[in-house]
Formats: sequence, C-alpha cells, structure tokens
Amino acid sequence: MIETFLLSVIGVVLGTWELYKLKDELAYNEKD
Amino acid sequence: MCEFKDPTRCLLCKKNLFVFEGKCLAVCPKGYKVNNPPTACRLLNLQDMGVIYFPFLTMAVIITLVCICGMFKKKAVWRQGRRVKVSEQNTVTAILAGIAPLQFMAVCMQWALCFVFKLFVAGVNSYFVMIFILCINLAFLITYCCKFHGRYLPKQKMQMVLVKELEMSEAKKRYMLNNDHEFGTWYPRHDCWSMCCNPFLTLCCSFKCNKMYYSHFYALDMFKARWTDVSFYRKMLMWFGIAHFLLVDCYLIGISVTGMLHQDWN
Repeated sequence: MIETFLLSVIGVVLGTWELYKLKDELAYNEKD
Repeated sequence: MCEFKDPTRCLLCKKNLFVFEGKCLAVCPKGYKVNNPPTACRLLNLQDMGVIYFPFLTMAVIITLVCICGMFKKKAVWRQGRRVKVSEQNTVTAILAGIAPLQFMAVCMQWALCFVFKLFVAGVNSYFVMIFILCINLAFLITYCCKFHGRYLPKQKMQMVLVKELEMSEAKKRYMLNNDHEFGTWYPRHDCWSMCCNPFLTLCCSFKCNKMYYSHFYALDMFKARWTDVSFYRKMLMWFGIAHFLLVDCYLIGISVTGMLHQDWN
C-alpha cells in the first residue's frame, strides 16, 4: 500500500506538471 | 547420537556440528543451510532469499535515474546570438512513461496481497482500480489507433470505386492515405516500437507509455514522433490524463491511506 500510494502521488505530481507543460512540449515537438 | 540399527549413521551431533546425510559436518555444503535450532543442514528455499523491500519503488528510482542521465545528452543550438547546449529530452514525460507499468504491477500485487492477508475491502477496491486502468487504457488505445493509425480512401477514389472505374483492392493498394499524415509517415520508419511495443505490449499502461512518443528519450529518433493534428492529440492526452487522475490515482491514494490507517502494524 505504501508503494501504490507513493507511485500514485508521484504520478499525480509529475502528471500535473506534465499537463501544465504539455502545450510547450508538443509545441517544441512541432518546431523540432 | 546414532541410529539404533546403523551406528555409523548420525541423528544428532555435538555442539557446533550439524547432521547432513547421516554425518556430522562443521559447515553445511553449498545449497544447504543450518536449520533452527541449529542441529542439521537443510536445503535452501525461496524464503531464504530474504525480503526485497519496496521492489517497485526501487525500480522507479532506477528508471528515474536512467531518465535523468538522458538529460546529459545535449545538443548545441543558437539562442539570441549565443551558442548554448540544451537537452532535448522531456525528462518528466519519460519518467511518467517509465513508471506507468510499475504502477499497474504494484496495483496487481496489492490486489493479490490483500486477499492473502484477508483485507477484502482493500482487495475489492484494488480490483476496481485494475478495471479502471484497463478501461482507460483500452479506450485510449482504440481512440488513438482509430485517429492516428487508421487509413482512408480519398473521396474522389471512393467515387471511382462506386462507379466501378476502379477495383477496391487496387484502390486500397495504391491510393490509401494515412489519417494523420505526419504520424503516418513517421511510424513506418519505427515499426517495431510503434506497432508492437506501444499498442500491444503496453495494453495496461498504453496511455502513459504513449507519452514516450514525444519524450525525446536520449534524443533518439524513435521517441520523436510528429502529428499533423497535434491539437487533437494534446486534448486527448489532457482528458485521459484527468480521467486517470480521478479514477486511478486519487482512488489509489484513497485506498492506500485508508488501508494504512486501519492496518494493524503489530
């Protein structure tokens, strides 16, 4: 349970960050 | 102490000696271990391997380190008249994609262990999480394949087929176009990765593993996909991401916190 908890927290934190940056990342992808 | 019928066959030895196949040995042979209390040698079994603490988290740390190392592969670019070295890799994306299979495996393990330790409520909840993970990934896979892996026949050629100026098989062979032009021209060059690894082997985490397409992992070409309809792809990732947060991550956090609070740690 500790593992699933930590993996989920990591998933939420990184996922939120990635969602926030998604536009830039794919835009960068378009320019590349 | 020896056997009644055969005095050469030992049953119990002096202190610091151990019975092995009727003999007293000071050290057990390879593949054997002293039993408890220490009187004889016994075969090694799986329990002797010891406990691996936090296997999935350990793997996640290793994957994270591998991704972080990828940041050091840089390329020189000109920015505002200056030559700077930048990393092309989207490290957060690569980490997310890397730990996705671990999350699914951890949920499966949690589900199994909940039943072993008779935590039925947590077990049933973990089962629902697995179902949600499968549904989200299957829905993503179908949407993605239909939108980006599909091919179509242009309207003009379709009309020619309808008026029988052109054979359907011939038209399919010669005039089929990719639904998404750029992705359609990119993925045949990376067949192994795009057709085998992504849709089929990663069924349980295809949504997050799909992120590898734009992760630029170690700046390798196979992780630099392009899409003509990139805004659709972005929206798709956003909605599936939100669904994953709510149905999987938040649900899992809830189960884990509740389980840990009600766990008898003694």
